[in-house]
Amino acid sequence: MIAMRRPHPYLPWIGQALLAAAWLVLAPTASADDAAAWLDRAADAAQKQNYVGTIAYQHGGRFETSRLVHLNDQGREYEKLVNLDGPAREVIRMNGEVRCYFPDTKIVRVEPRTFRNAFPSLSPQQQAALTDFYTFRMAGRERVAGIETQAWVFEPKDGLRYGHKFWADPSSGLLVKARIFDERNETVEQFAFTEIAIGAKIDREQVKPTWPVTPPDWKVRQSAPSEDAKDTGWTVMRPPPGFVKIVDGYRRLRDAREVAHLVYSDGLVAVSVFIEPIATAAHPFGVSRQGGINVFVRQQDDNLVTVLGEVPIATVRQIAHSVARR
Amino acid sequence: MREQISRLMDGDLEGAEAEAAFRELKQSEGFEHWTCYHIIGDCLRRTGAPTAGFSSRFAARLASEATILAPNTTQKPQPARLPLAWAVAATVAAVAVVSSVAVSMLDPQPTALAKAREANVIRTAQPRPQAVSPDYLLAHQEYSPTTLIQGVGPYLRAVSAGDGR
Amino acid sequence: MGDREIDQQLVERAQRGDKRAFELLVSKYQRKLGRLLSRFVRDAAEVEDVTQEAFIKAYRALPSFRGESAFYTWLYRIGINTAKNYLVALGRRAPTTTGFDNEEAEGFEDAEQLRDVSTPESELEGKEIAATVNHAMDALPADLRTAITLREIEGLSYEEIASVMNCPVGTVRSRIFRARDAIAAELRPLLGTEKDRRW
Repeated sequence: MIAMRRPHPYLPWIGQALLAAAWLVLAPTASADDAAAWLDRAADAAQKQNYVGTIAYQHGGRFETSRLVHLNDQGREYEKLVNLDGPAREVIRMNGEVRCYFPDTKIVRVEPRTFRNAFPSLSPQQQAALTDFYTFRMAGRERVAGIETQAWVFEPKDGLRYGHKFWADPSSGLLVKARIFDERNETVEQFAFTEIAIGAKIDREQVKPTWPVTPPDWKVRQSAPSEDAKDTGWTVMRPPPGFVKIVDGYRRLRDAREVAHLVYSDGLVAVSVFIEPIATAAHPFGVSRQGGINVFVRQQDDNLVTVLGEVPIATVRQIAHSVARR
Repeated sequence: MREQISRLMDGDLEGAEAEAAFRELKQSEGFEHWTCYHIIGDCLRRTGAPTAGFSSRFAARLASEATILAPNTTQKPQPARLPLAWAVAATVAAVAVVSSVAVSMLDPQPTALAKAREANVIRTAQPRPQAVSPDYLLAHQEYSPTTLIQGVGPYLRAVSAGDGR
Repeated sequence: MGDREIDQQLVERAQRGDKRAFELLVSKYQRKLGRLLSRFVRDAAEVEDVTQEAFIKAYRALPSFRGESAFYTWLYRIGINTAKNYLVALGRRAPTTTGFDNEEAEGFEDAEQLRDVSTPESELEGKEIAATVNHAMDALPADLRTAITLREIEGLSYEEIASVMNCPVGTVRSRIFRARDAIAAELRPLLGTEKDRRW
């Protein structure tokens, strides 16, 4: 059933935009194609649109606000995120490279662009997984940051995943609010724009970092992927249903240690598995949480296994216990 | 009551129920159940053989120790608070620009508050403790679909706790 | 409340003058700490001595414990220091096992066999207890055995077990208790109830 709407009196083309999105408004629950297409649209908007706004990031009962600016200049993306509460932090994304500034400790962390950064679209397997393991359906319309958004929900079909609700600007497809919730419908994590201007004119100056690209007396921590493109030889023996391996390679993390990095994804979320020789520094073993990400660390023989992702604790734990060499 | 002790040791009791269970544990019978259940766990985990009389002997030693009294030394969790910026931003949202299909020529000015904060880049608030080094989170965010569909926002997970080390 | 919170609760009670609360913590961790310290000292009586000494030191230092780490992590460090000082005082050197100082208490999973640190009599008792627990486990119905295994060996929470066993949390609660109760019934005659022989 197609939603019928009277055209907005001041923006007559709203009706057209709605019709353009109508093909998504086909049924209360949607098919795998629709879910994948919807995600593609959101990803495309995040990449192509210019926008600036204030985000409220909520997790574990805390709120933090940040300012976000995104510019697409003839296909090249520039993004700047500045937190407005707590210790100063800045995240700059430019040409796929991500830099995080920590002025209080004078550290800048650099994630270089890798060939794996290329915009991946979901494989047919992952597309099918989306609705095998989530029910994708339209939810209500809600006003967020001054926009009449359309809400969509990915409801998990098993207890190994969280639920996800997204509020999108109907015309651009850009996500204005994203919420992860658990089986009791409690918020695990939420990103919400409290104000946003989509399609605004953004100046290059607005996306430049506050500090030089590499400030002179700062420590630079680079986390490079290994030049060697070989597989690590590690695997997760019993990944949760629907989770497919999408990354398998070594990276050099802090102290230049070679760490095996595997990523498993069900199309909507990802879980990273890091395996490295156990170092001499003490490690916090067991369960912990950072925002919407649950972390589980354990020792396996002489290795440290760290599993983290946007999934419940039981899931990261289950994965951590089934890591093995192929 | 044995079931309450079983639940308490697994962290399944709260509030008044937990209080009641703690009272039971003060009695010798309750203490014995606690001990017995923990011996079972240790046997299953092959942690170590129990030794007879350990508790009695320790209790005797502890009895001759001066009773410590140091209330309120452990950290209480910080209550969640709504930062000023968010409350301000919420009112700003009422006058936020409405999106449109065509690219508009608007060039919105950041709020005065945001500008002031940006100028004051070194702040004194303590960073929250982090679960793991940002390395892992940043490597993860590179491939997480959340980054794909939300942009750089989810990187907040990696930077809002800890101090970069 | 999780496992860490229960320890925290007991610590706070002990800090407010409740000695019994500390004894409950000792009862929970004495075997784990004892096994750790048995790597330093071989004699069973010495191991108990050093272990008790470590607990007493921990009790005295409790006012300065603020809960930044888990209780056992903190206790572990005190234990290691106590054992080292003990050996130094006796003129003996600590064994040079690799990475020993750097092991993180909570995650340390040792597959090594139990050291032979017992006197013949207590060794027999210890073996008998272990055998009784195993026998009682074998006799349990499968669902009770699974629940208690997931809880005690895998360390899963009730919610996680409910998810894995696909049943309500209430059922998990009941299964774990019934498993413990059944094993305890077989164990209690062995443990005895004499006041001066409390385990």
